[in-house]
Amino acid sequence: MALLNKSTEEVWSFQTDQTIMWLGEDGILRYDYVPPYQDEKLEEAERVAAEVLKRTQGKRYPMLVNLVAVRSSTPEARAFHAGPETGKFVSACAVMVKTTLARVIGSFFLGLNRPSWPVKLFTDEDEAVAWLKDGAHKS
Amino acid sequence: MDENEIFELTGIVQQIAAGNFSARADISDRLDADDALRQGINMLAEEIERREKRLEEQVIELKRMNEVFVARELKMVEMKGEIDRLRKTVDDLQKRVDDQSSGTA
Repeated sequence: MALLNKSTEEVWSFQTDQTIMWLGEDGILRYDYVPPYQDEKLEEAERVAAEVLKRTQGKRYPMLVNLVAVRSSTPEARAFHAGPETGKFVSACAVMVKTTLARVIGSFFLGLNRPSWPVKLFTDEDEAVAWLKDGAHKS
Repeated sequence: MDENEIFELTGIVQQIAAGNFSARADISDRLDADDALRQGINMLAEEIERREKRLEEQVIELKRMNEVFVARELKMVEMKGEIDRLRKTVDDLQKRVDDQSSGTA
């Protein structure tokens, strides 16, 4: 149950019971879930977004999300992740789906929730980071 | 997934197919491919349930709007009748005035 790589220094970070969130010096937000597994509900998604908004202060960042430790996510939580509050701090989103379960949850998010910013599923973290960094999602 | 688990999961699918969109499969803490299949079924059921609820809300809203429009239509018919009555009254009065005028002349 691997967390995201710590290949870059943290600018800031915080952790809740369910979530680990940090901004790297490379300008990418990392959104991880605390192993071994999490059942995400709307309240947690809102709590994390409020904490992030305090730190990002209106600036939007590319974000890397790791779904490997997510066992379930309610429709309300997924809708929130694709909604205007999240859009205040996210410019593009690469979703790590290294397991079959993560791929299912990620596919539902991509297909049904359809956020207004670019979203893509990845199984390789380096490719995901490269996609977020090189701005390919902007074209 | 053994035969019992397949039987159990098939039961959940049958419940959903029968219209019980709140039926859910239990997800284990293994987070394996079997859980992915269960979660996929759960999320499809959630989506059907969500759309069903939204459709019900839209039907209620359409019924309410229909009632408003029908009521307005009935009111317009009533007002048209009232206008016709008033127009007839005006015509009658005008005729009486004309008759009186021609009698005076």
